[in-house]
Amino acid sequence: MTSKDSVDLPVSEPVGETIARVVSISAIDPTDQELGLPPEVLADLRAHFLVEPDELTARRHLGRILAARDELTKTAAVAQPRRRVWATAAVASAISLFGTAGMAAAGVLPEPMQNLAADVVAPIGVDLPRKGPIAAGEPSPGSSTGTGRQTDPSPTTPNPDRAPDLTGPASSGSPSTTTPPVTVPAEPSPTVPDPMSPTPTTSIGGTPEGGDGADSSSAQPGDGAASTGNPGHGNNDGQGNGNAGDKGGGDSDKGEQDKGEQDKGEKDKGEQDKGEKGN
Amino acid sequence: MTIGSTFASVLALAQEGDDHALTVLYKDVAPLVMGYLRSNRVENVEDVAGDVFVSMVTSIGGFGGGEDQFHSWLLTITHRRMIDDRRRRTRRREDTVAPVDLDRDGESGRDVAAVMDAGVTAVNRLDVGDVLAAMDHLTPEQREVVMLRVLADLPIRDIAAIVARPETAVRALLRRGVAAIHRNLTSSDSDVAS
Repeated sequence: MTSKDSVDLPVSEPVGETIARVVSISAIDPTDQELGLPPEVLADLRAHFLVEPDELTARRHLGRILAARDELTKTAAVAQPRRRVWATAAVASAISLFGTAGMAAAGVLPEPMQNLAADVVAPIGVDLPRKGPIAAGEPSPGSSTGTGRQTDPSPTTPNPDRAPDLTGPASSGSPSTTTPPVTVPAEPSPTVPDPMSPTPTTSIGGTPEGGDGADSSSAQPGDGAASTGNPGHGNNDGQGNGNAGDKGGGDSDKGEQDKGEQDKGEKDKGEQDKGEKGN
Repeated sequence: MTIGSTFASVLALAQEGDDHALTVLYKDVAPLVMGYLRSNRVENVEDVAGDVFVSMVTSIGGFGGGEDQFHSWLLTITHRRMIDDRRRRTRRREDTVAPVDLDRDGESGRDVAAVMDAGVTAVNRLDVGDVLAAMDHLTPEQREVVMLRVLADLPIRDIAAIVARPETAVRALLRRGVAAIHRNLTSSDSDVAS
């Protein structure tokens, strides 16, 4: 590869002009000689411009430099705590976020939070474990009508005193968890039990009203009140669930029963007095 | 005017705000900054240089490099403050470059070698006053590049970074500036001879 191949030189161009042009377009930085000025002139030129500032100018400049340094120090002192607060807040937020996400993924959050987290991330396709009745084979609330969040955890709560499995209708596995509790007292018992019945509390969920025991397990105050007006119902509830309200209903029924016996005794006493007067 | 091997420690102390280190740095770079401003005909050199040093203090925390890089970095600040000062001035300086000089500097640099050859004898008898007089005919862009090359002895790459131009443009400006200096020296010498 010759120089003629690398650089296309016109024949009519003078050599000095070509060198100057090549030097100007080359990647080599021009040296002092290539600048065309003698070194001593360049040195004089540098000495002409590169002079120390006079003392007054130097003092002014140094004063501005130190003032700028002080201002910068103050600004940094103010900005540092702010930065630290923001950094702390960011770290705390990240820890809480990832911690909550990890606990939700592990399913160790409390039940409401776990279900809430599962509901929040369900639309984006993340399936988190749930707690409560939905975990026992219930359809996911995200795929249902949306009432699944109003769950009543009591049906899955093991209660040895209750016998919902024996009654059939109340424990047949129907989604009773979504049944509003207001339906419970709206079914008054048409039959008024005989207060003198010897065994008013022997059947455990034996009556059809005994199916309401599942509803009464939700400890609604209305259950106790309803059972007050329905002795048979109240007795069943009171004995089956041990609910305080139901117990109160049972006691009140018993009290009424005792009152009836007392009235009967007084009536008999009145008749005896009549007989004595007659005698 | 170099700090030398202790530059790194001086820089580290200056970045922490040490008074003595800042003073050492100032004394090292003040002639260069003020010389560059003066050579480019900045009217209020002291004020513009003060702005440069304030910017140096506020930005020195983010600087990293050697002494040569520090000079280039500081000259970049100086150049920008100089441009700001020019823009602030409502009355712009008239450049005294004759149109014939621009024509001769143009195109392919045909006149460069001839001028340099013809000016060899004249240059050999130069003093700094003649060079300064010859530099009066440079355009501001040529003057900036020539003075960065002469005063700070910077490579083309650093000069291009300082003036924010491509290296090829900087090279062309430098070549045309030097050619204009030689031409002016030759013409002044011929005027004296005649």
